[in-house]
Amino acid sequence: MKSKIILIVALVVFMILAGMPLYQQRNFEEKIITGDSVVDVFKLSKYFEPLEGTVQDTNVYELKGEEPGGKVLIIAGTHENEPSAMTFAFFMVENMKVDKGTIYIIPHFNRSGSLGTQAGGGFPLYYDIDTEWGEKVFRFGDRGLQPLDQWPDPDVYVHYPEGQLLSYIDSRNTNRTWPGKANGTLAEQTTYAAMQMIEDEDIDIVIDLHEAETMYPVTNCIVVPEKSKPYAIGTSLFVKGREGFENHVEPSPTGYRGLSHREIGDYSDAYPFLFESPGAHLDQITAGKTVDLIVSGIDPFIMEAEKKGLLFVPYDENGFSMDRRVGQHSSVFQELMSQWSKKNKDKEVIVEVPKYADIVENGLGYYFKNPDEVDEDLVYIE
Amino acid sequence: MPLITIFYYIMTGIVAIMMIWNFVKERDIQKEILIIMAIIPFLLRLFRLK
Repeated sequence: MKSKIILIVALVVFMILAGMPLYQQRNFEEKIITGDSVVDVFKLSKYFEPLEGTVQDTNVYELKGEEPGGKVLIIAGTHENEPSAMTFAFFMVENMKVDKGTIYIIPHFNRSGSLGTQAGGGFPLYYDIDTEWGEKVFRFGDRGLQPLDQWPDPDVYVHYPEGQLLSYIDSRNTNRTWPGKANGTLAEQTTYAAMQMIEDEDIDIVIDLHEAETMYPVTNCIVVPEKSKPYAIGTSLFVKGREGFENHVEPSPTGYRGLSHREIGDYSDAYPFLFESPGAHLDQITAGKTVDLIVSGIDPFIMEAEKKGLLFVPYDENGFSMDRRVGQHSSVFQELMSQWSKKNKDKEVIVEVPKYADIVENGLGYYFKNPDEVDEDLVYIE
Repeated sequence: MPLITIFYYIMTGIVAIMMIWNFVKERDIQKEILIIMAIIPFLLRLFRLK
């Protein structure tokens, strides 16, 4: 009897010690400050009511210029373990000035994924960006929806509507469930809601932000279907010339279903683009998956791999920092808007926001205001 | 919540109760420890912690 009491006490202590950090992370509030161009903040369920009240009913920020023009949807947080997408979205909502056109930004598209880390991968629960007023803390999430929000997984995930058989784990991956399904799983309903938004708002361009391993060929690039290719090629060439960082174009495979760059192009009139920046923390060979690795992108084992010619990105002792990754996303985005506007005068999109060189020089934290020192009406919780 | 998820929670609860019952009946300390360790993921899911 005595041993049973001791074991029960040990179990309760363990459950509290292990469970509290997970509970706190799931309820941690990130603060985002809306900039001058934000005219409205609403929920994704505006386009698909069944999503209302679910964990996936995420915030959409609408930024509008003084003149009408093209419409762009920026999706961050499809994979919540690729953090430069989210920090870029926060940076854009807070700092971007839209002169012409309308831009919608979703910072946590897979909001469920942001509410729990990849604990099995040894990743931290949070990461932070240094600012002039302290550390701005973000949740570090997982690639798919949390099993708490979509469970059980099927033995084999059957993509809708193409019927392709995919890995069971991809049933929770919001970059394998496009174009979505109204009466499907929560992941399918999320992408369905976004497709409804693309149709209802007559979106011209959809940008899905990601990070990829340095040892994976589809990194430091723009992934596009055939119809988006002319814009992507122009963007890639110009950023290389003007900004001085590597970027290339990868074709969207026609036989691999469920990806944003494939299905949005096939099932809507919008032009999809998927941006990849190099996230060294995603590589399997790194040392500990620390906050420092996530933010600095510096790792000795990646450095060794570089010496052996195993990487698909230029890599040196300076690593691939969050500043560089967000800077790249910013410059590629702005160059894409420029390429688009040259060819679509009636749907121009003109924006002003710091680019790669400025972000690397000043640091990303320089652009984040202290939420405790601004008008509280400007602060939203993510 | 989809019906299949509700079934899975019920199944998890039943297995957890069976483990608790086995724990109460068990006299071997090693098996008691084994049960206590095995029940953790079931409780984490039932309490919606992980």
